[in-house]
Amino acid sequence: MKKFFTLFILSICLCGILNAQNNSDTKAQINKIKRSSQYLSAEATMSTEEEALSLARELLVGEINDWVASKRNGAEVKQIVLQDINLCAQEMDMKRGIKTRAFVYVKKKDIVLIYGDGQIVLNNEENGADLQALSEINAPAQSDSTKNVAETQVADSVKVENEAAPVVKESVAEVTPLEQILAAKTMSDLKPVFASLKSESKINYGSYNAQTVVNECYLLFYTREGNIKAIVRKSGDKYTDAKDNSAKNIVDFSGCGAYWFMLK
Amino acid sequence: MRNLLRWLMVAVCCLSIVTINAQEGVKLEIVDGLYDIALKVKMEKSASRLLTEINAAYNENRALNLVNLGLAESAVSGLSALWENAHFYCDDSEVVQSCLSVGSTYQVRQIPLMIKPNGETLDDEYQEAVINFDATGKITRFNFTLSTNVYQNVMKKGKNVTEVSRRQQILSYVEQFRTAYNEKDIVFLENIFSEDALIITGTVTKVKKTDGMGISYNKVTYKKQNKQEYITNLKRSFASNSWINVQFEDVKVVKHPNPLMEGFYGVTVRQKYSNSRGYSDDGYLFLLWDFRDKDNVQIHVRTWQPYWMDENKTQPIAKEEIFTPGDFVIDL
Repeated sequence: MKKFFTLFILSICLCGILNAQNNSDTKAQINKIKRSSQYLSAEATMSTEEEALSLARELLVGEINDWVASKRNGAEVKQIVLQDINLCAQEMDMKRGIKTRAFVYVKKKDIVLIYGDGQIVLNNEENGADLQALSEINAPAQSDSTKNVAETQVADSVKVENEAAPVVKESVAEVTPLEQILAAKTMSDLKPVFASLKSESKINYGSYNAQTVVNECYLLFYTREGNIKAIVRKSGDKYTDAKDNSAKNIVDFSGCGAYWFMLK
Repeated sequence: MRNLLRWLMVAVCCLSIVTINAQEGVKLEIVDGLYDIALKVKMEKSASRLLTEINAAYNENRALNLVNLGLAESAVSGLSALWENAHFYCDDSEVVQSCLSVGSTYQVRQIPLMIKPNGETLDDEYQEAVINFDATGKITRFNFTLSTNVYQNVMKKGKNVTEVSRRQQILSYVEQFRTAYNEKDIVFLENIFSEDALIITGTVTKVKKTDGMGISYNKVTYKKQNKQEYITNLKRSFASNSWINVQFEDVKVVKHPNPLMEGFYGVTVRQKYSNSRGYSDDGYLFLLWDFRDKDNVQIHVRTWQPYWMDENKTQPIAKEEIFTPGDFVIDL
């Protein structure tokens, strides 16, 4: 009985020590992220985990805005693509007395800055030329020769599109607008399709915002490289792949850029 | 076997004690906001030494030894007074924070503390602190902070750089004002109130209508005090309480609406007050601050109104009842 009691006390003490060790590991990990120049982070300690997370996220948004403002040409940034801060940000939480500490952080490289006007809504003059792949918007370092080729290709495509507009209309008459969109593999492929549909008033679209997006629409997710990852039909809280009708979870597209669109 | 178990027990108990005690060595690291390396190193070193001393004093249950830490006199007196009221320790052995510039001075915020008040009735409590530095990196004040969300809510309403800077200054004073109650710093409070300060305290009284219907309702009645009366009462309260705990929530900063009152700001806070004699109250504190002379910031008006209008705490005071800067006319 005495042995049993001793073992019981021992196990309680060991649990306490292990818990403290775990806490200390989390603290060390948090500090490592805070020190790293690759991340932006924020923390808050509040009565409940929910309050702490909500405040930490709010503070992180402030950090992101400050970081953008501090960048060269920061004032020209029109949009920040961070699919959903709740999904992109990594979270840690731990106890501080009876309160909870929440720490959220995001990798700077996962924040995509969009410069220039009209990325979202096309007007008649723009005719789709503004719909860019993220790889173009993000403008990674390119050698001059590559850059020239890319510029030429964009210019050519616009030119062809303008000259051959009636032909495009005729040739796409047999396929539905959705099929045209589904056929595009990259944002560059998609650009003339959206432009054409827009000119025919067959489509409405805009950048995706989880808070404001309508219940019934399509969502188009694309990667940083400009490849289209999926086109999903949104119906309330249900998401289905527009190609094969399989059920999708929005969490799977964490870190992607996204547009919504509605076909008329 | 029995011996082995005994030794294990002793070892685990020793480890537990080490874990429960505050970790003495604290290292503070500034990661952002300060690009003068020499200044940064000086501030880090000085803050680390201070936090290490705080933890050592907590573990040994002794007074703070702040000699040779290179602190300004204001920091030494403030911290010593605070320590008499409450003992606390830094919850982390490594504190990694960014530095904020406030005019020509600096702040490092979100220093995690656990407070153990001298009274029996209050549990250990999480509280963040802010270390204030002067332009040379010397620690000038160690204050308990407003909570991060309160601070953030006030700061985000600053529309331009000047306003952001003024709001920072106001909150810094509000934090010092709040900490002055925990420190029982009567000198600071005497200095901060202008000689002709208007001090109003409100109490809820139950009034019965005389229309024969027998309906009663709550009414706030106000009592006016001058600065001397208020300070005398405060001294009495400081003397009779071993500790006083003041917390500020829901801070709202409003510029005076009258263009002639440039530099006047109204600060409304929800104040939760408790002391060692078991008294506590919850109400709105309104302070009319005068920032015209930045070296002699003053409070011209202090009012207190109860938060709850009924004993059951179901009916909070109506928003329109809470004092605002426009309610007071100051002779300039």
